[in-house]
Parts: sequence; C-alpha cells; structure tokens
Amino acid sequence: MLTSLVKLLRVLNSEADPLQISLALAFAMVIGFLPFFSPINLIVLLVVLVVRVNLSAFILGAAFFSGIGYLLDPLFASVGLIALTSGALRGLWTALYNTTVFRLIDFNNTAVMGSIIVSAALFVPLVLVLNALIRQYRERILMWVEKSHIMQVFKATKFYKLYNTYSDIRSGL
Amino acid sequence: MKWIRWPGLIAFVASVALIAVLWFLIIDTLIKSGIERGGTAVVGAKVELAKADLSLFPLGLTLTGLKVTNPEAPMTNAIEAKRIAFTMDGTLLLRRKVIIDEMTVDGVRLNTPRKTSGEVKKAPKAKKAEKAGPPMLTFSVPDVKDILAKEDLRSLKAVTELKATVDGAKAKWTEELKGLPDSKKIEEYKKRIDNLKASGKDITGMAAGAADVLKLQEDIKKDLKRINDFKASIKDKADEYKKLAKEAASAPAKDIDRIMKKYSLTPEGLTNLSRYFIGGKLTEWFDSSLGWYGKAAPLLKQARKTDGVEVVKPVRGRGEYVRFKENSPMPDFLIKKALVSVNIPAGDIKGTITNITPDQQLLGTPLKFDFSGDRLKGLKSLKIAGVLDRVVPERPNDSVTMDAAGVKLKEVVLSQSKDFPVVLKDALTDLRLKAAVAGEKVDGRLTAGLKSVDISAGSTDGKNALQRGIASALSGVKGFDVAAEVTGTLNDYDLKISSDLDRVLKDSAANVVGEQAAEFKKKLSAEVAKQVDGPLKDLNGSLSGIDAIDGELKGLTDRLTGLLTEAGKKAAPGGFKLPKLPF
Repeated sequence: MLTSLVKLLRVLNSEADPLQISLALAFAMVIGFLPFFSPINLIVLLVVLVVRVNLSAFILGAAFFSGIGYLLDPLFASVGLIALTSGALRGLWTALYNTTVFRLIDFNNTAVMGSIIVSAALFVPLVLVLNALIRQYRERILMWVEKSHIMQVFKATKFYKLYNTYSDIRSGL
Repeated sequence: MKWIRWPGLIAFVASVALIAVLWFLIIDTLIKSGIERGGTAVVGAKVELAKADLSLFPLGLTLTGLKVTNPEAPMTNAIEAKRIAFTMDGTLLLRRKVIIDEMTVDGVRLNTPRKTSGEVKKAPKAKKAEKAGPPMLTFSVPDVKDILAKEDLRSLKAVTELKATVDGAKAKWTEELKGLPDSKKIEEYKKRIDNLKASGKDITGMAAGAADVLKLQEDIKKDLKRINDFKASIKDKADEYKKLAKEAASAPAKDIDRIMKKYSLTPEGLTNLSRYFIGGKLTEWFDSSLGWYGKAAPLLKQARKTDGVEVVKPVRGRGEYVRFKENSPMPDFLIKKALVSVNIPAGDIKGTITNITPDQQLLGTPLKFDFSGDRLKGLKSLKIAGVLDRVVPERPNDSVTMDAAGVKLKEVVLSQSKDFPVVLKDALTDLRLKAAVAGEKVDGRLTAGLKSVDISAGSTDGKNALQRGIASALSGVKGFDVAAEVTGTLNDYDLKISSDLDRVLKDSAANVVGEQAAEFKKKLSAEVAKQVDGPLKDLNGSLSGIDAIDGELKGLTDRLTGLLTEAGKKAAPGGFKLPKLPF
C-alpha cells in the first residue's frame, strides 16, 4: 500500500506528460472493468504498450479499477442486459452475433457488454478530468504542498526518506 | 514527444507468446481437472481421468483412462473408457460451437471394480419412496387370533344389529298386545252368553235375547278384527326379521371366505407364483436401467430456444449470455458420430451413436444408437438399437430394442430369502426387449425363452411341505418362457410377469397349499363361530319372542271365534236350521 502510494506520487510528480498519465489511467479503467480473461484486454494491452502512455500509472490504475469493477459488476450486468435486450438494437446485435470476431470477444455477455458501455462512456471524460486535475495538482497543489509547514514536517518523516531512496534508486537505473 | 513506442509492440508479442506457451503447458491439466470436476458434479460420484492431451494441428483432444464411478455402488466404476479421441472444427470453436465430426471411444468397460471408493460428499437427498417388490412367501399358516384382532367380523356386526332391532320391535308389539282383548274380556263375553242362555225361556225373552245376541256377535267380531289387523301388521315385519336372521346365520361363512382370500395362499393364488421368484430380479434390472436413463436424459435436455432473444445463465463466471437468432443455426455442442467399442465379459461389442447434442430441435434429428456383437463368449449374438428423440422438446419420445440370442445364464440369484433361496444355476435363453418412454410414460415388454434350465431352490427335505413341493417342482424344470410388461410412469411403474412356470408350480404346490388352506379355514371357522354363535343364539331367542306373540294372538282368535259360534247357537236354539226366505 505504502509502496503503491509512493509510486503514485512519483508518477504525479514526474516530468511525464499529464495526458500520458490520464490516458494510462483511462485504459486501466477499461481493463479493470472488463472480465480478466476477455480478449478485449489483449487489444487494450497492445495499445498501452505501443502508445506512449505511462505504464506505472497503467499498472496502478488497473489494480485500482479491477477492485472498482468487482464492486460494480452487478451494475455492468444490468446495463449490459438492458442494451442487449433492447428491441431497437436487436438487428445490430444479431448481425454481430453472426460474426466470429464478436462471438470471440463475448460481446453477448451482459457483464462484458455492460463494462464496455460504461468504460466507453467514461473514457473521454475521465481523460479530460484527470488531465486537468494533474495539471492543477502540479501547478498549484504541488508547489503549495512543497512550501507548506506540513510538508516540511513530512519531509522529516521515514516515509519521505523511503520515497527519496526509492526515487534515487529508480533514477540511478 | 513521440507517441508511438515500437519496442512496446515487441513487448506485446513477447507477452502474448509467453501467455500462449504457459497456456499450452497447463491447458491439458486444466482440461483434465475441468472434466473431472464437471463430470463429478453431473454424476454425483467421482469421475477420474488419467490424461488429457490437446493437439492444435489438427485441433483435437485425446482423453485417456476415464473412470466414472457408479454413484449407487462407490466401489464400482459404472463406465471405464480406455481412450476417447476426437477432432474439432477450430473456426466454429471460436464461435463457441463444439462440433465433433467423429469421436472414437475405445475400450469401454462396464461395472469394473475400484480400488478406492468413488463416493463424494453430497447434500442428503429426499429418500425416494421404495417401490414395493413382490410379496414374500411365508410358507406358514397365519395366526387366526392375530388376524381376527385386526379384522372386523361383518357377520357379528349384522347379528348384533338385527337382535337389537328385533328386541325393539318385540317390546313395541308386547305393549300393543296389552290394548287387545284379554282373558278378562273373554270371560266377560262368556258371562254374556250365559245370561242370554238363561233369559231365552219364553217368547218375549227370546225376542229380547235375539237383539242381545246380535250385539254380542258384533262386539266379538270387532275384537276379532282388531286382533287380525294387528296380526297382519306384525306378520310382514316378523317375516322380514326371520329372513334377515337366516342371512345373518350364513354371514360367518362369508367372513371366513373373505379372510381366507386375504390372508391365505389359496390354490388359485398360485397362478402367478413365478412373480415371487422372477419379479425381484426384473424389478432390480428395470430400476437400474431407469436410474441410468434418468441420469442420461438431462444431458439431452433442450439447451436453447430456436429463435428470438434468450438469456442463458452461464454455469460459472460473471454475467449472463444473451443469444440471438443465428443465420445458420447450429447446436452449441454436437458429436455427429461416435464409434464406440464396449468390452463386456463376453467380448467386444461395437456400435455407433449419432447426433449427440442437447439441441436436437436445432439439428432436427434425434440421437440414435446401434450396437451389435457376434460370436461372443456365452452369448451368440447381441443387438441393441434405440432412439432418444427430443426434436420436439415438449414431446420426448425414446425407444430401445434389444435382441440377445443364446445367452448363457449362470448363478443368477432369483431369491435371496433365507427361508427359500432360489438360484438359476444354468440356463440358455433368447431375450427380446422392446421399451419406449414417451414423456413420463413408460411402456416395455421383455420376453425370454429359457432352455437347459438348472434351478436350485430352497431345500427338498425342509420342514415346510409347501417349500418342499415348490423346491421339488423348480428343480425339475428344464425350460420355461417368461414375459414381463412394464407400464405406468418412470417414477411409478407396474411390472406384470407371466410365465408357464406358474403352471408347473401350481401343479406341484396346489395340494400342499390346499391342505394349508383347509387347516387355516378350520381354525378360522372355529374362532369365528366362537365369536358369532352366542349373539346368533340370542337373536334366535328374540325371534322366538316374536313367535310367542304370534301364538298368543292365535289363541285369542280361536277363543273369540269359539265364542262367536256359541253366540250364534244361542240365536237359533233347538239345533234346527230355518229355511232361507225366497225374498
């Protein structure tokens, strides 16, 4: 837990582009919400590895969103069931059902469909919001935190020393 | 900043390759444990597999050493298969369709012993109501006192009730009798006649006396009429009571006949004695066959609808699967043809099973099986064929026929009774079975002709004469035919057995059974008489009371008639008759 927090702070405080971090977290959300063995996860992994997003943020985010996904599973199943049994979309689903690729990705599973819909709907807003938040954090909070008395005290703690040690080791790699 | 990192592609390929290698390394184990877990859950007893081997080119699976425990006998494998091999259509598999063109199942063996128990812990099932087997032969005369303690004697009840009715009527009639002329009244009439005799000495007296005589005659006639009316009114009832009493007297005999039929093995009851010996074994075989049919039937249960949208809960995992109409509907699972080789103690029988699928309504053809074997050890030929038809799921219609020629039967236990064990030591038979199950309704017929029969039954020098008779008759039997018919439902079927063995048994045992029945009847008659004779005597006493009333009435009538005659003589003294007037 402590190490994860260290990693998160390091990512946020790094020189990485905020968009790289927010995109990584958004992809992490997709992979976290989808069932673990879904073939779609392989496509997301390919994108994450090829597109230059922050891998640390992705790994941390995947762990975080998997937990959230587990809790929201009933919601995904309900959303998926509504979508898959919608009369208006039946033609589309029937066409996809007769396609090997879509059968392979289990699109007709309510949990898969629900998590695809929810993560697709949240993807862009999440990227934008996280991007803005990271920028705000770096521009205002990080500077203010650095100068605050609390931070001064914090810098004297074991946690801060651990953070620095970790940071130095990582820099030296 | 560059947004694409090509090394990531290499990392992806390496990761996927690593995953693929790991998957390929563990997939056999996963398949093996999946089959064992799934099979155990379905069968309700351990299903074990020695090895599973998946090949990718061509895509196929080979299973080795499959053992399915018999849940009813955990130390026995119901089925063992040495090797099961098949290939699958890879493209269809991507669409979640397991389509097997041809499967080979080699070295199937039935009922093989296990070294360890294959029992699995399961939730206690509601105990199925045990089907009553054929009644047991006790070979002894039943205890009369015990039987009469349980049975109501209808004759005793009838006699007691009739006596109460007769007593009631008798009391009522006795009371009514008091209102009729009695001795006092008759004395009064006599006195009046005497007075008339005394008064008729002169002509004036005679004239006055004639009027008194007429009055006296009128009074007597009135009383006679009352008595006759009363007699007539009780006559019908009295006759009815006498008739009922006569019937009641014969009722104990009917009671005896009824109890005899219920508790005693009568010579007529021997007409289906073979059921006692063959019924148990056949019931056991039918129960076992229907048990396995019951286990197999759900595997063919309709898995899906043919069109429209359908939500199907997955066995495990998350979410539910929603199905849509397919352009070219195909079953999710289908074995088009399975070549099966079954190794039975008599040798190998080979056959094919076609169209194994839970979606017969999609395929449009039922599952068919056809097995045969020739020149087997202890069995000349065997042919089994059948159809499991679920094409219209609402109207399942299954049938099987079996022909076995030259079957050698050895040491078949027909009765495990301690008192009277029956073992078919040797026999040669031709068997023919034809059975059909339509929904819950079962209808089957098994015929068998047994030749070169050697039966060992009980003991021919035992104490019980009936046992001795039957044992002697059975040991002399060299051949017989048996026909068994099963009708009813799967859960409650009726097994009717007929055999010419019955004639043999009847001939041999009828005398003994007749003697036993006579002994039983004698004891029963004595006990019934002991209970019924007393009340019957009382009833007759009550009926005698009615006769006494009748006698009393007759006496009164006679006396009044005598008085009437005497009064008439008074009206014409001298004893001559007056001529009748012509006007």
